[in-house]
Amino acid sequence: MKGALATTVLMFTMVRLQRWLLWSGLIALATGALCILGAVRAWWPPVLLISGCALVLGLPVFLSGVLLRQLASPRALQLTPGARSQLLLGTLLTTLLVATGVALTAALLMTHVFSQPAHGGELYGRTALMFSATLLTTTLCCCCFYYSSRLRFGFLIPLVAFTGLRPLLPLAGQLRLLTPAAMLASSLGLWVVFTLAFLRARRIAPAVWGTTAQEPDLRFTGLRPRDAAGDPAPAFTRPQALRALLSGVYASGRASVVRLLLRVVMFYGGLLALIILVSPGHGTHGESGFLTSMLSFMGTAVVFAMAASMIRRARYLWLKAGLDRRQLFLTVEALCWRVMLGAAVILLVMAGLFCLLLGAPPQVLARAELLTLIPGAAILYLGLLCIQGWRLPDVLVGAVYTLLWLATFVLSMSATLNPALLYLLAVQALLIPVFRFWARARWDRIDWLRNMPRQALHRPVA
Amino acid sequence: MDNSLRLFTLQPSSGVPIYRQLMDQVRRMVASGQLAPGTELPSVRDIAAEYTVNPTTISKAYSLLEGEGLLQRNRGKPMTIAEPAPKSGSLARRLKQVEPQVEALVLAARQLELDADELCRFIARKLGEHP
Amino acid sequence: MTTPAVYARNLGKSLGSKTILRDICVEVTPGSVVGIIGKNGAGKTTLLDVLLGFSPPSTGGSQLFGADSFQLPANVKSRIGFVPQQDELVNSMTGRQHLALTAALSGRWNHALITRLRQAWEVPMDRIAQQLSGGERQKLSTLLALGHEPDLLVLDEPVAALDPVSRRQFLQQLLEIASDSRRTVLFSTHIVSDLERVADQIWIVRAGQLAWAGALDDLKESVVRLHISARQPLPLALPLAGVLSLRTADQRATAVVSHWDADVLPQLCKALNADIDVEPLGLEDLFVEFHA
Repeated sequence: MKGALATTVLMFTMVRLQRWLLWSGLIALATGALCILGAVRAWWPPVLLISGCALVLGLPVFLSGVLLRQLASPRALQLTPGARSQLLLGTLLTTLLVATGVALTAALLMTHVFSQPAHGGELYGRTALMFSATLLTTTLCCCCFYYSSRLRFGFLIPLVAFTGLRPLLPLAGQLRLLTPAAMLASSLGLWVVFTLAFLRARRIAPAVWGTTAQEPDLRFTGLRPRDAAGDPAPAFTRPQALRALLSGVYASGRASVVRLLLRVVMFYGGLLALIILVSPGHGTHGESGFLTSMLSFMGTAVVFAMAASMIRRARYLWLKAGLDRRQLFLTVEALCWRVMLGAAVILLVMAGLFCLLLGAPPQVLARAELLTLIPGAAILYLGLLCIQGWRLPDVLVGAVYTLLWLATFVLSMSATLNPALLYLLAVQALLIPVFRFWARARWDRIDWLRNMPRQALHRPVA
Repeated sequence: MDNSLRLFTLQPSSGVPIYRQLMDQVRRMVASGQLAPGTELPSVRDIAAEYTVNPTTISKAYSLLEGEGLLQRNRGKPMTIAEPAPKSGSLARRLKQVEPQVEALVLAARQLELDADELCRFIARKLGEHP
Repeated sequence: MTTPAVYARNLGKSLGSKTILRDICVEVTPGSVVGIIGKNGAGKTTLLDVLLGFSPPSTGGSQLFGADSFQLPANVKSRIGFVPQQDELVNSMTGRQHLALTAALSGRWNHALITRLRQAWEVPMDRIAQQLSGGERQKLSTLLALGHEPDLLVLDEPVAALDPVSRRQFLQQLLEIASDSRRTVLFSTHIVSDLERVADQIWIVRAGQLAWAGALDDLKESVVRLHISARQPLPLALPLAGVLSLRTADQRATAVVSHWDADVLPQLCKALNADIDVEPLGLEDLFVEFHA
């Protein structure tokens, strides 16, 4: 039981960023709740309450699956009896805690803030609905992220799943699947299935996210280990050598980092397109806008993931390639741009194909490219900037930019072009040179003790 | 030449530094006659390679022995044992040379509870045995 | 006066509120082999990282061949070879490809030396790094650092995963390098017996500071264990300088002292009215005593 509780605590505090979020979130939550209970009538207590709730409970929703995998993968733990069940119980408690938190927040809002406060049966009904909906979502996220964290770009799978499920929601509503009872039952069912799979798995491999492990992704390139052998006279030019070391991808010259990107984007993009084409209500004008914005988002996320690992791997070039810090920054930047432009070209082609199939106007293409390049470049330089851990300026800038980016993303999903979207993009475009200047200054004093490449637990060959 | 490489017993893990072990062994062998004057000693590199030890410690031992007059450096040729110096050394100096061995002997004798007379007679007998 | 290969003055490093290194002052003349020992977490790897310029120092500074560590110029970097504790191999590349990659990035490359070593050490060339065992990966990493014949070779736990035969081969290669008086070696290890063979300078890192930085021979001669057996009960305070540890039981005592001078032995025996046996200590025992 103690292990389960320890696991739950870890889910809320393990990542360094969560300590910031937890403290600020709890303060916001407490302040908002007290003000609401104290009958303070203003616009900001509910906002505080909701943002506090999001800060505290948001990250565990996404991280619980990944953390479970990370906690369960050490081999010593796999030999300890009862360890896995404790971890699983802890994760279950976390999801229950999140659902309870959301339900209580909703109940507080419903009784004190809404213009027509709910009472009695209606209150219980709605609270139960919030509880069960959150429980189901959190369980789905947990299972999804647990399995997809084995792939470096696995965070795209939940994205694809979400895109696929979105049109099905109205259908589910019609089939009365969205009642509290039905959702609780499906959560329970999911937990039972997941528990069986988890406890019976012979070996739990560690998560790949945030590490420099490449093995699961190389399967995308179709490379088999024996293809690498028998390359009698490999030759590298200096730029090729730098790229191979920085990206960590070189498979007999057949898988450069851009080729890997191509295959990854095509795989996930294709999956996405398939789901959209198959789901009911496709072919409408609006759908293509949603699709292209999802593709752009996916492209920038992939680029960011690659950039993050390249920044850490730049350490390898310090002595081996004899570059100074300014040259290292320029080399990493150049490779990241190479990857990003590659992604932009690929997305252009894919978006073009979808526009042809779905009959959307060509403005959508322009929008897709702008959405890939501008937020992509801003995120890239933000990543190059945040190399000294989570200090206060980094957190503030990151928070502000995340809000900008979320707003861009949400606005871009609509079919018609919202003028606010253009303003947001312009702001981000202006931020790009600012971030770049700041990143250049920081790289002159980059400390690789804080930015060590993270290796996955190395599986020793028998 | 191969046999002479394994002439010494060097223990890197001992508390006694390697150069001192080598010096003690060379002195003992010269004193007992195992290494006659004029014998060629293996080169620094050969010993270092044979025992997998740092060559600087071997060359330090050789330099110190040369300073003591036990070894002779020959240009372009390996080090050789020098001719024994005439008995110009005072009694005190020669006694100081054997002081470490005498101290060890005294300590052992004390632990075994041998008294001075018995010990001296034993030493005299041993001195008589050797030519 | 030749420029020292490695020079540090009042070097300190803290991350946040934790002080990892404090007051490190070292000077390594070219041609030395320096062995660095210390407990896990004492700061050995951090020290090497700061000396090589991966991390800026919080206080003081360090230089390699006269150039500041944090801003090493390219010509100095080409004289340095580094074998890190966590290997930096690309998992999808074979040994042969790694050698080609490193050769492309370095100015000069000694193909004959690499060919000889890879055959002697039996480093697999045609399997990807993902499929190599820990020891094979370490051998490959070491090979990659030797190809451009560096003047300063820095190794962080280079032999931890090697079997005794491979370790002996590696030490022999290291000695060949060391016999060239212009080339310096710095290596940190747990395997103390290797250091006793190969190193002439020892740095003992204890809680971020250097408990000893000097010649190995001096260390063995100045830190000794004294076995004292007196003819009367011994006083609690013994007139010994630099005591690292002391155990007294009535008429007998065992003390480990640093800065031992053999000339004071007769006076000490007379002062304590005791017999004193001086026991020299091997490096492993010395290491334990420094951390007692």
